Amino acid sequence: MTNEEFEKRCREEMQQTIPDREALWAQIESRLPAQMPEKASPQKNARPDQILFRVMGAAACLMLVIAGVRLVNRQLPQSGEVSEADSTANTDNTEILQNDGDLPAHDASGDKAEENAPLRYSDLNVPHGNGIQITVPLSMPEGEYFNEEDVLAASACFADVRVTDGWQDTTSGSVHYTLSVVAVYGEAALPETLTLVSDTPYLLELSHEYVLPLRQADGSRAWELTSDCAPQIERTADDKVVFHSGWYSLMEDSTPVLCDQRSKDDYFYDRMYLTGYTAMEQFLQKWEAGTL
Amino acid sequence: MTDAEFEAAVRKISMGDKSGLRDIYDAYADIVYRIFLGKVHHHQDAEDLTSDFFLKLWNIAGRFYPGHGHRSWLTTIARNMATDHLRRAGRELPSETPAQEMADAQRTEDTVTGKMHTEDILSVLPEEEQEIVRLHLAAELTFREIAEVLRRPLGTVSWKYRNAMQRLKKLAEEGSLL
Repeated sequence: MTNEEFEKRCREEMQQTIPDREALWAQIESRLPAQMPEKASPQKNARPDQILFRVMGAAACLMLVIAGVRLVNRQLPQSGEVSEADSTANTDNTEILQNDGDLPAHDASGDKAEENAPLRYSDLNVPHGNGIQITVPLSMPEGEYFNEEDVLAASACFADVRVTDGWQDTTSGSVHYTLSVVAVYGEAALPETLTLVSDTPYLLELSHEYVLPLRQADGSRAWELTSDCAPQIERTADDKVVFHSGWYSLMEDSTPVLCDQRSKDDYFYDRMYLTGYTAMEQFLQKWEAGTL
Repeated sequence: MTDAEFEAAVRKISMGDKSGLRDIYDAYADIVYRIFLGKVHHHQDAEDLTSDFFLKLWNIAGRFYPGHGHRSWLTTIARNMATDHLRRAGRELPSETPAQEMADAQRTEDTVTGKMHTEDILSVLPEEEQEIVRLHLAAELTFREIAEVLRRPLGTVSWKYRNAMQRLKKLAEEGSLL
């Protein structure tokens, strides 16, 4: 049985129907309120003097409300200290369910990078001080360059992974990484734990999360980095991504990030940028769909 | 039901027109029922919750913002109602009930007729994978809608679904259910 046939069988079995739909509807209908919701009294039925009093009363209430708001605003912290709840836009339907205790408030702080604020990598929400120790120095082979189009064409998938272990084989110099897979973009069937071997001097760090372009090494089932001649895309704990300027598809609305040069072979430390994870996800979805 | 049709139905409900609720009922009653059944594993409870759901919808339909996905909105309401129901009942796992005994009898008959009993093999998966599979196959949500409901990245949802289906197929094959 093919995968599609199996999925079809599962779907057929899981699509139960209500035993008696009409009986259930009758039950629902019987519980609906008999009266229609109240509507506002039409103004045309009021006497003119009543209308005038209503308008004056409404205006007086409005002025009281405005005065009250101004008084409260003077007592509140300044705009820079607005609470997280106040700063979220109430445009998502999930916000509506807040009073029912259904869902947390939608965080509409958005994925756009901070504007006009030079960031340092050390300020980002990533674990710091988790470098993998190596004793055999690594360097980039001559003549290798990063090219976004080539990487996209050669990659079988992009894997969002967390580094759980790393050690260097001092004989070969290669670093062996153990990665816990968080998400996969593309059709590749990756295991939940992945081992990657790489000679890149742009080391991955323990407990950090990255979005790695991967392909299967020629003639084997082992996975390898499609490109290891540049830093990998890194995901922060607050759903941003740090990437180098070679990923020009991600450059729109990004913010420069100041990084320390990690080694003499680090040619990207002054070309790193920050954008939202959603922007990167949208980019990968277009890549998956072939619409880039 | 398209978003436009749903919004039209919501407008009717806001005007007190029951046909608006009926339109949504016709389109989604079975799906809502399946969401509840997947959570509470009890046919009568699932029916009762479905009834409560549409009553709740009658009251809150006006709070739906047009232009946003109505299917994920409805699914979120249903999931939360199911969670509340299980918490009130003081149980997270299904217990033996007359409905369960009937299901056992049905299962014996279905083995003869060749059904796989997806629910049985689904239960060995982690909770999140079970939910993703149910939301996609039973509730007919797209991966994007599931990602919105579960607040998980789209890549996570689609990858977990593929993994889950591969595992289910293997279990079904090993159990000679195919």
